[in-house]
Amino acid sequence: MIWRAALLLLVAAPGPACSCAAGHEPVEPHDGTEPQGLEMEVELSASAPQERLPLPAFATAPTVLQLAITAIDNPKAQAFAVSASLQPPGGVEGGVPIGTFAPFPVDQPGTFVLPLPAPAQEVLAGASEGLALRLALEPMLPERPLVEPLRVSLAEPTWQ
Amino acid sequence: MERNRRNFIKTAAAGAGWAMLGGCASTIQSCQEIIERRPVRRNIASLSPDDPVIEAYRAAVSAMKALPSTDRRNWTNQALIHQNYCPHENWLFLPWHRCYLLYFERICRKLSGMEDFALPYWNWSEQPRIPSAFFASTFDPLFDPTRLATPTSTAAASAVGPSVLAGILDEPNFLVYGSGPIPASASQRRRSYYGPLEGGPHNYIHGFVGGNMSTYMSPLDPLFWLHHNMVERTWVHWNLVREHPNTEDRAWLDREFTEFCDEDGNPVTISVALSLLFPVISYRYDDEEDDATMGAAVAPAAAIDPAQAAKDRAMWLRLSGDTKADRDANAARAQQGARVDLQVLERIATSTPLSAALDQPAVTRLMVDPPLLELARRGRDVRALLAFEGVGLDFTTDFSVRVFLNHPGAGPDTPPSDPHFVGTFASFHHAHGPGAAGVGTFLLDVGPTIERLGLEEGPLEVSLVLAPFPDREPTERTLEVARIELQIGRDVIEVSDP
Repeated sequence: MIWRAALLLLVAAPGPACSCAAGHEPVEPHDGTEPQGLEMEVELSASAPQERLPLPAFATAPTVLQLAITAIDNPKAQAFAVSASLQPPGGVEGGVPIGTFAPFPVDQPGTFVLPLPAPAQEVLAGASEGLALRLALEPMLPERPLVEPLRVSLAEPTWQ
Repeated sequence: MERNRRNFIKTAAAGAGWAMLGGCASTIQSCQEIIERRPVRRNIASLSPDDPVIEAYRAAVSAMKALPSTDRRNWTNQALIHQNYCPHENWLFLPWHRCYLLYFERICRKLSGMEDFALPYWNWSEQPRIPSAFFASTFDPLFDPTRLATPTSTAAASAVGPSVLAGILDEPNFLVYGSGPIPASASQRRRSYYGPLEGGPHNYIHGFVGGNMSTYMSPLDPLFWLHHNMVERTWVHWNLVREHPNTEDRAWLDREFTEFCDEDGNPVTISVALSLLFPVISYRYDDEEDDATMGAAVAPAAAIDPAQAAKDRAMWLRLSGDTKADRDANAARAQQGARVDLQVLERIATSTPLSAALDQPAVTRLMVDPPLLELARRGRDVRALLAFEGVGLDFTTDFSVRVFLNHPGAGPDTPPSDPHFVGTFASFHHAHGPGAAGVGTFLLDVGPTIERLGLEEGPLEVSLVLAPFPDREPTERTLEVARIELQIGRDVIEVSDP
C-alpha cells in the first residue's frame, strides 16, 4: 500500500486524466490577478441579507460558479457565511443548494470557486428560464444573529 | 518492469524517508519498519477525556506556553509562523499547513515525552460541536477564552456536513480542489482563488469557532491544530482513497518553506514535493481506507480478523477482489503493510526508441487487439498503464512531458483539459555535475483516457509533447525514450508476515 500510495502521489497524472472526472471539466487556472465581472456588484448586509440574481443565458450548462467577495465591512468581526442556491421563479427559501462559503479571516475578501453539485447541474442543463441565483448571508452561530453594521460586496457571478 | 516500478518508488520513498526521519535508520529495511509503524492520527471523538493522547497534547501545549519567547517552539511563536507566512487562497494552502502540522506534531511528541504521539483530528463533518476536551475548564490548557462558539454550538450541516464533504471529495481537479495556482516567482501569500475545501468548511470552521480562530493568530487556540488535521485528513483521503492526483506543476512541487522549526527548535527547509510523502511515511489516519465518513460505502478496516489474515499469509490476492468483502479485506491488508504489486496480464511494446524535441512531438503506435481494449475499459478490476522506459533524466529543469492518446495534432498548446490527455511526467532529479544524469521509468494510468474516448479498437497512438516550464528558457531541447510499453494488469497484494 505504501508503494502504491507513493506511486499515486508521485507519478499520477493530473486531474483531467482521472477516472472520476465525470461531470466536471477542469477549470482553466487563472492567478486571480484579473478581477472578473466587476460590472454589477451585489451588496448584502445584516438588514438585507439576501439577493436574487437572474441567470445569464448559457450556451452550455456550466459546471462551476465563481464568486468574488470584493469588500467586507465587518467591524464587529461577526461570524458569517454566504450560501448560494438556485431558486425557481417566485421562490423565497430552499431551492437547489450550490454551496456555502466564508471568508477567513472574517473581513478578508477573496474569490471562491464552487463546483456545481449534480442536482444544480441538472437544473441548469434543463430549462433555466425564470431561475435565479440566490445569495444569502447566514450567521454561523444561530445564537448570534447578524447585526449592523455588516456589509459584504460581491462581484457579478461568473459561470464556467 | 514491476521491479523497475518498485525500485523507483522505493528509492523515492526511502530517500524521502531518510530525510524526513532524520537519518533514523541505517538501512532501507529499518526505514520501512518505521514507516509501517508510523503514528496514527485518531478522531478525538473516539478518545476518552483522559486518553493518553489528549493528556499528552495538554502537556505539550503547557510546555510550549512555558518556553521562553526566544525559543521557536514557544506557543506564541508557533502562532506567529501562521500570522506571518500562511498561504491562503492559493494552491500552497494544503501543503503549507501539512508541513506546519507535521513539525508541530513533532514538537508535541518531544515536549510531551509520548514517543508515538500523533495529533488527533476534529471531524467537524460528523461531530459538528467543539470536542468537550476543549471546554474542560477555564484553566485547562486546551481552553481558549476568546471563542464565540459554546459547547452546544453546532456547525451547520449545509456548510460542513457529510454531503458537503462528499461533494468536495468528488472534485477530481486539484486546481479546483486545492485552491488556485500562483506563479513560482510570486510570494507564497499571493492570492488566487479558494477551492471548495478551503473556502468552504475550512474557512467556515474558523469563523464558527470565532475569537482567535477567526484571525491569522488562530493557532493560539489549541483547537486550530485539530481542525487543520481534519483538513489534512481530507486531502489524504482525496489522494489515497478517492485516488485523485495532485498537480505535477513544478511551480507547486518545487516551492520550499523555510519558516518551520523541528522538535529541537532548529529551522528546517521543506519542499512541497517532499511533503507529498508525509502521509505515507510519517503518519496515517485511523480510518484511512474507510470511505464511510466521507460519503461513500466501504466497510471499516477494523472488520479484518487477524487470525484470518494470518491464515492467508503469503497468498497472492487480487487487491480489488470479486466481492465487496474481498475488496475491503484486501484493502485493509494492504493498509496493514502488505506488499502491493502489479500483475501484468498483457504487454504490448514499441520496438524502437523514440525522440521528441521541443518543437517536434514524438508519436508512436501500439497495436492493441479489441478484446484487450475491452479489458482495459472494464473498470477498477483491470488497469491499463503506459510505461515509459529508459527516459533520460537530465531534462528536468527544462520541461515536463505531456502524453496524449490518439491525438495526432497534439502540441505544446494542447491543454491538459483535452480529453485525449493521459498525464504528465517529469523528474525530481537534477543533474549536478558529471554522472548525475541517468535514465528512469515512468508510469501513467491510461485506463481513464481509453474509457473516456470510448476506444474499442487499436492502434493506440501515443504522443509525447515537451512542455517547457513557465518563465524558463529551456537549455535541453530533446527527450529520448528507449521503449514504451502498454501494460494491462491488476493490482495484487502479498500478505506479509505480521
